[in-house]
Amino acid sequence: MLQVLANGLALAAAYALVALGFVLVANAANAVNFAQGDLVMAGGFVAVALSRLWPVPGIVLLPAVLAVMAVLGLALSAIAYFPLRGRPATAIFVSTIAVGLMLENGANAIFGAEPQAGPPLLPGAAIALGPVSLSRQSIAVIVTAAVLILALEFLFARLRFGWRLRATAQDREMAASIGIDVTWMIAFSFALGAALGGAAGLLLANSFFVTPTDGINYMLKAYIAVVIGGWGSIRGAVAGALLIALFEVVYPSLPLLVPALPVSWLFTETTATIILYGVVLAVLLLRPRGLFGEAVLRRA
Amino acid sequence: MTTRLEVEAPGLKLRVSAGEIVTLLGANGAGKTTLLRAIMGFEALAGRICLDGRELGSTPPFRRNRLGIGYCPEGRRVFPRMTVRENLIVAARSRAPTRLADILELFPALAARERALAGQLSGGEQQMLAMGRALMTEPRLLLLDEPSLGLSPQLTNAVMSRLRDIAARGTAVLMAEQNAANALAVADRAYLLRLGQIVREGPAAELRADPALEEAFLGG
Amino acid sequence: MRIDPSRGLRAPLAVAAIGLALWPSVFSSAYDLRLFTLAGVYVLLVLGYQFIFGHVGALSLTQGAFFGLGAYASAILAVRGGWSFSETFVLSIAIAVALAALIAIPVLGLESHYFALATLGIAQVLLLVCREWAPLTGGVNGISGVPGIVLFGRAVPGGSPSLILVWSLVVIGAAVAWRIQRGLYGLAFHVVRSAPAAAGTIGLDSGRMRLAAFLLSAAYAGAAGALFVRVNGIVSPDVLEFPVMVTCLAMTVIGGATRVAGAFAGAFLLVYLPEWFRPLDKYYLIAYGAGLLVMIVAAPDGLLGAAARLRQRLMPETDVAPEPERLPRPEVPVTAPLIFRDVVKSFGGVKALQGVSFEVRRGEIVGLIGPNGSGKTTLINIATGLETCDGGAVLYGNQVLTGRAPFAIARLGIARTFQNICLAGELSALDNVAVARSLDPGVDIETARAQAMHLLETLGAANFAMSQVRALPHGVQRRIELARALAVQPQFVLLDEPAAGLSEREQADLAGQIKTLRTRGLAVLLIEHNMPFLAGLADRLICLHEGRVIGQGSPDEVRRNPRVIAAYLGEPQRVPA
Repeated sequence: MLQVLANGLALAAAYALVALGFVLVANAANAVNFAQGDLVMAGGFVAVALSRLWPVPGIVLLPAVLAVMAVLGLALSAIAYFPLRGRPATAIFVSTIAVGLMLENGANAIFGAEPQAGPPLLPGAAIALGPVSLSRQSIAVIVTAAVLILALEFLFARLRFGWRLRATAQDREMAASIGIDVTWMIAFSFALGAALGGAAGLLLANSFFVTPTDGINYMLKAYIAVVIGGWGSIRGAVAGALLIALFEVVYPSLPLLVPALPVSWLFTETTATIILYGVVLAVLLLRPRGLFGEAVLRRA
Repeated sequence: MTTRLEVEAPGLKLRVSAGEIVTLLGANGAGKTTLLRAIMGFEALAGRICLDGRELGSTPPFRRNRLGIGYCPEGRRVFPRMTVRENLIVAARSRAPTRLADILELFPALAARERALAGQLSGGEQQMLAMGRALMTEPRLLLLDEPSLGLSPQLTNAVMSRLRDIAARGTAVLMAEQNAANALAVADRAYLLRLGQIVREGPAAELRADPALEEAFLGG
Repeated sequence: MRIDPSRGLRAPLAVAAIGLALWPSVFSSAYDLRLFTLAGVYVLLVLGYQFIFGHVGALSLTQGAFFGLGAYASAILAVRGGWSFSETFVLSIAIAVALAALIAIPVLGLESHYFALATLGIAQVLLLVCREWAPLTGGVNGISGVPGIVLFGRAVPGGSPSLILVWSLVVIGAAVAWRIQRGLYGLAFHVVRSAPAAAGTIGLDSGRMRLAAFLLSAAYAGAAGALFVRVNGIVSPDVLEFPVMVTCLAMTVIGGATRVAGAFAGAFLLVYLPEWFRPLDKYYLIAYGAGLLVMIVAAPDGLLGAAARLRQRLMPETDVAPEPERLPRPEVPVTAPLIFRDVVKSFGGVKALQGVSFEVRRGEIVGLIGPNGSGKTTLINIATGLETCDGGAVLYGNQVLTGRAPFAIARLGIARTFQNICLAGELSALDNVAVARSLDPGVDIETARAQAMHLLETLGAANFAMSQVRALPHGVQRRIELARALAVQPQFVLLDEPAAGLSEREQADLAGQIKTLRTRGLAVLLIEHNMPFLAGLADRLICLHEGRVIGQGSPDEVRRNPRVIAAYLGEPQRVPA
């Protein structure tokens, strides 16, 4: 029972990382990065590849995955964003879709279409907590993601560098006028966004496996989380991710949690997803700018 | 006095020296904002812009700032989702705490609202914040676009007297203003722009005394 | 279409196109024929998507869902109900349109990303339903054995015959899309997309146009889906998956989002590109992605956009301006005044307007002056419906204007210009004006252009009629805005700083033109800073300061009013000689 909640939280934590990576780029570069989901998938495969070379727990691989993905993020900005800077936003949809296709098919060519399991974060099986046992993996995922999110929060709230990123996201011209190298800030946002997506890929790769075609699914989840959360705040993205994971994991398990409920079509994953989208539509109708309002104010 | 800024373009020759306040006058569409934005590097200008004798050419805006140009745009454009303190410190190059203390001393109204989000400040406070933000970068040349826009006369006076203090410390100030009387009261020299060209220039005192002035700036 | 002998490339291009069209049906294998047919299906899908994505500029993510719905509807009706091709074809379109109409109610008003997400959600729900509702949809396996096309009691065999049938429908679809887009309606879409603030002020109901575009896009997608399933013989949930939507989006952007030919170019390239890379074996899809990337970087406005620019560079052609034609006189001149009554407006604590009252009567020119930030533009925005007021009202005779949509106010005969010029930069000056004639039901695009030419001529901008507005000088753009306002045939014209940036001679011309409007019985309210310009023109001046009227009367009275002088100069003692 607790395990279901832990699974839900673990999934939410990973989705939150994906969403944060997405919204970071969206704000800094004013561009929708459609490759974000494929970056998650790529992070999973990087973890798979690294663990084959070097069979250690996933947590040890995390820094390496972050580094490789940051480089990939820089490459993404160099080939799909900067050549199209100042061009119509739709052009950047397509350029990032193209990079996503290359990532997906690259992974397919190297690793094949079969699902692969990534390394577990920590060795060992379950932790006994009195009568219930919890899988180490889900606890480790929650903790790792929480540490990353807190680090991000610290970066944006406390560090001058984080302030420069925020200033760039709020008004690029004014950021430049106070000496901030906006181009470098945008490139860094791409690197950070990719690293966060990749970290999520590593976190998810053990329990949920990784398949080259996973990207689209993560992309959709990140997009929903960000829009529900109001397009810009860490809090909003985390809330959005929680909502999604709640429906994806906890809701279908309700009959297990509450024995009085019948096991029926009402509690399938499909129904859960339909209800999730229903909720999303309702949120948009009632709060047309997301649950937390638009965090980055647009200039009038 | 050392010359800080020189601009040379067809129909346009302009110079601003250290410690001097120079104002650009002219109606809407006369080209004041465009000129300031060109000096900052946001727009191209068919001509030469030199800072301290060095031609800026295609130097990007952030490097121009690092070379010593501060910019305070029309409409303030503070970072709305950052606090007053963050708005200021993010602009500091070095010695942030000392600089911050200086700026808060210059604009006491900001000190009282240090932790407030910039987007929630009043227009006057935002104007001071935008000026403070530009000053945090320790500019040797400060560009101001319509600093009195939307401010009450009292606030305008406060802003203008701050400008005198800033110039007194050796900063060159170039300001675009539609409110000619306010601008001329504080400026040393003035250029009158029309359709992107300078049609008149002279010491502020001379232009102030000119009865044709009202026509000149109320007229296109 | 005018035939212009100077367009020498047209004939060879046409021959090449026909050759290209015939080549596959003569020389190709069954596989090639199927691919070519499939390309036609995608052309239809993209043509539809151009309406909502290209012309309206809204990122709809349901186009793939409409396509899948059309496919499923045809498959289910054909396999389970034994319906004929023509019946299922029509029904597929009808069902897609019905779904579009249904979801338009909640989602069409949403903005940018929120609209995208809402449409995406609907597409995902549809996908899940098709996967799970196995008794109807066959679940994950889908429905196979969909009979091929039967027309007039005869089976149309696969290969060339069905290719020709599909392509005939594509040609019809393209012709319809071209008809819609090239008329005034197409221009109106352009304005709604690129100058949305201006669209309402010339009477365009952008909400209704969005709806029409959405329904059209669904109709094309439904048709494409119906054809797809008949050609394929099988349908599975794959057609509803996101990759179909992504492919459609990529085809639209790569080809060019607003041009009929762009749909062909985009669909062809994306259908054939993977084929060309086939020899690369398992890497071919990577190469496809790279190809896509190269193409979008090389031509961010789409291939057709790039081609148009190239043609313009190689063979700069100047379109011939139409012969000017006078506008018909409106039948009933209205005599009601425009009344501002205690208008109050604040922006987050800043009181922009604090109870402003005055009237503008027929045949009068009223100047609205005041320092920047005194609320002048806000007042005009409220009168034209672009902003709402917090208190008070604006009336036109006894009709309350406040609370009405901009297009409704414009249709009552109130037109305006903008301080920060709001024109569709990529359209010609002529088209920017012509589009404002679309309110008159009897006017087609040729007439509208001729009448626009007349207006531009009277405002002295005829020389610029065929130039792209974006490249024109400020002063000319202001005159185009005025011409556009007059094209609405208004009773009232509200002008926001019409003389800003004009030379003295241009100002004198403008003053003359505004006086002509007065003699024709129009009323003019203009915001200006330029006192000499106003002095010789306005019957009355009204001075605003900090959201209040601080003086009004004849220009001379207002110029001597000490409060007005103080507001402008900050020095009450200075009175002009």
